[in-house]
Amino acid sequence: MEVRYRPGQWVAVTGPRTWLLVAAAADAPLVARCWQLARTGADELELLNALVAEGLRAVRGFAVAGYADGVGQVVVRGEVTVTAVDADGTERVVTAEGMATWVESRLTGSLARLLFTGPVADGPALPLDSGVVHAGALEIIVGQRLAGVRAEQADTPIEPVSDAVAHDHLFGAEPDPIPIEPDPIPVEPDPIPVEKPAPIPVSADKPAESRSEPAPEIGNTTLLTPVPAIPEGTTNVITHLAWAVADDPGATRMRATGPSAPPTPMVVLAIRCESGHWNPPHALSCRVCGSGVPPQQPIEVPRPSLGVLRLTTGDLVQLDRGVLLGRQPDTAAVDQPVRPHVVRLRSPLGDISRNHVEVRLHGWQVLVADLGSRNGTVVCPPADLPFDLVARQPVEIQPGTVVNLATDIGFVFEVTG
Amino acid sequence: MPVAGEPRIRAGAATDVGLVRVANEDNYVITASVFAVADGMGGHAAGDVASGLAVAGLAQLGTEGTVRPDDVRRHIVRLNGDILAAAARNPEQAGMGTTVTGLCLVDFAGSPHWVVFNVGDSRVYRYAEKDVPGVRVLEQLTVDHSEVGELVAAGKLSPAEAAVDPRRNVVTRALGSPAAPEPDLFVYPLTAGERFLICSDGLTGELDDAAIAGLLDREEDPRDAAATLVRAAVAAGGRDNVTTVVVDHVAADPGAGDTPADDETAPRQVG
Repeated sequence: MEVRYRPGQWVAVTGPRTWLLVAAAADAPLVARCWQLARTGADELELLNALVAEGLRAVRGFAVAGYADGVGQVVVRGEVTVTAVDADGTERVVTAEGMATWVESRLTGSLARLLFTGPVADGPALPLDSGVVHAGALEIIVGQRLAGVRAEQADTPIEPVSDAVAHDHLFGAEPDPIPIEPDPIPVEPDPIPVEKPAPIPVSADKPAESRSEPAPEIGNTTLLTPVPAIPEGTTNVITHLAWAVADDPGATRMRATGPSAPPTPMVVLAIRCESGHWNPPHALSCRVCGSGVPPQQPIEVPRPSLGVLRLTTGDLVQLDRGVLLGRQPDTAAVDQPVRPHVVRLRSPLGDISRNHVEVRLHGWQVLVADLGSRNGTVVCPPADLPFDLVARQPVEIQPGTVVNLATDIGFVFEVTG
Repeated sequence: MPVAGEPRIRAGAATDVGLVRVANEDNYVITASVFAVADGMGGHAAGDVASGLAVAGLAQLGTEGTVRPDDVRRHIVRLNGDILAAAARNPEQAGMGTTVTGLCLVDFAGSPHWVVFNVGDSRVYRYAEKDVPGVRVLEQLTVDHSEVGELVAAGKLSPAEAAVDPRRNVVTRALGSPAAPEPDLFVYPLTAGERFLICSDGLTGELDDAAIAGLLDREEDPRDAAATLVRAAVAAGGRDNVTTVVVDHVAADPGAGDTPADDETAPRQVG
C-alpha cells in the first residue's frame, strides 16, 4: 500500500486503511475528528459518519475510501471524483455530479489503485503514509496486496502493478522514485513548529537546577507508540495543528483555532450596548456606561466581570468570580461553582466572624449572603431602607448597594467599565 | 514595600530538560514577592524565549511600590504584548507562546494576601491542612486552560479520561496570543504553615497527586522538595521539561496585625 498526494486547497487525511479528501479548513473540528478515526484504523463508514455529523450542508465535498482484505467502498460528494483502476487497467470513475447527497460504490478484490481528484491540484506527487495535509489529489496504490490475491487465482506470474497500469494517469506512469522537493506546500506559516531543532545547550544561569543523569532505559520504555514513520523531508504534514502531530504527545501547544467558550457556569446570554459593553438580554440601557442598548439577538459569551466590590480599605475585588469575606475565611465554608476570591478583613475589635459574608454570581445577578455571622450583616440599597440579612438567605444587590459587616468595615458594589 | 505582618516566606525551585526534549523551554522566577513558572511553546528554542520574557517581566512586579491584584492582571496582559512584539521582530520566533502561573504577594484589605494567577496549563497547588487538623491535603488552586480542562469542567470528560486524552496538551490560553488572554486571578489570604507547589505540566504528566503529596510531605526544605519532585518526574519518564517552585509560608510573625488570635468572634458592643 503506497499513498501519494498532490498539494492543493482541500485537506487529505490518511490512515492505515482509509483515505479522505475533503473541502474543509485544515483546522476544522471535522478534520480533527476524521484524523482521530483514520489514524486509529477506523473504516470508511465511521469516517463518513464523522463527515456528515454536522449535517450534509456543513461539508460541500469529500471523497472517502476504505479498502482492506480485498473489499472496500468509496463515497463521493461534490466536486471531486474517484477513479478506481483494476489490475487489468479497467478504469471506473465515481462521480457525484448532479447528486444532492453522495454516491457510493463498492471496491472489488482486483483493485490496483485509487485516484482522488479534487478541483485544484498542483505540484509534485509526494508520499504520505499517515497524516493530514493540504491536498488536491490523492493516489492509493494497492500493489502488493493485489499481487498476492491474483497469484492465488492464476499460475501466471503477475507483473508488478505499476507496470500493468502504465498508462497516462494523473500521477504519471512512474510511481517511484519520488521527486523530493524542499517544502513544496504553500501552507500558511507554521506558528508552532513542533519538530525539535538541533539540541540547544540549556542556559547555565538557571539557578538551583537539578540535572539528573539520563536514564535511557527508563525513558525509552515509557515513550508512547509512535505513528507510522513519515519519510523525513518529503511530506509536509500540517504540524501547526495541535492534533495533527501524533509523534510528540508531550509537547504543550496552543490551540490552532480561536478561543472557545469557558465551562458552562461562566457563560451568559448577552447583548451589546452602543459602546460595546456586554449587558443582560433584556437591558434597555447599559449597566456600565448608561448608553442605549439597541434591540438584538442575545448570544452566549463568557461572563464579563459584573463590577467590583470597593472595600472600606479602598481595595477593589473584581466580580469575575464570587467572593468570601471574613476574619479567618475558609473556602470550605461556601459552595461556589468557581473558586472565589478569599478576602481576610482585619477586625480590630474581633467582631467580624471567621466566615462572615459571601458574594455569589448567578448569571447576571450579584447576590450577597450572610454566613451565620455572630453580629450579622446590614445591606443598604442605594434608594431604600437598610435591612439585616437573614443568615444563609441570599439577596440580590444592585450597583451602589453598601454592605456593612461591622462599624467602618464593609464594601460597596460598583459597576465600572 | 513590605506587606503588613512581614510573613516569612521560603522558596526553592528546580528544573530539568527531561529525557526526551532537546531543549528546556520552561523558566521560573523567585523574588521577594513573585513565585512563578512559565512553560514555553514554539520551535527553534523560541519557547524558551517566550517563557524567559514572561518570568523576567513578572520579576518586575513589586519593584515599583505597592502591588494590587489588578496590577498583576494588567502586568500579565502587558507581557502578552511584549511577547508578541518580540516575535514580530524575530521571524524565527513567530508564534511563540508561554503559560504563566504562580503567586504574587500583595497587601490587600490591610493584610498580606496571595494573588494566584494562571494563563495556560501549568498549575498552582496548595498543600496544607484543610478539614482535618494535622492532615495536610493537596488541592489544585488553578483551573487548567486546556481543551480537556474545559471538557472536565463542563462535565463532558472525567479526570481519568482527561489524563490520556490526546488533546491534553492543547492549551486554550497562552501569553503570545494575538488576542490578549484573560488571566485567571484571585486573592487568597496568607496562612502560616501553608505550602504551595507551582509546576509545569511535565511534573503532573508523570506523577499523580498521591505521589506529589507524598514527596511534598517527606521533604522539609522547599529546595529539597522542589528538586526531589523534579527528579521523580524525570525518573518516571521525563517526557517533557519539568519545573517546580515550592513556596512555604513558614510561620506567622507573632506581632502580625492586631487581629485577636483567639477563635471567638467578639460580640459587638452596642451603644
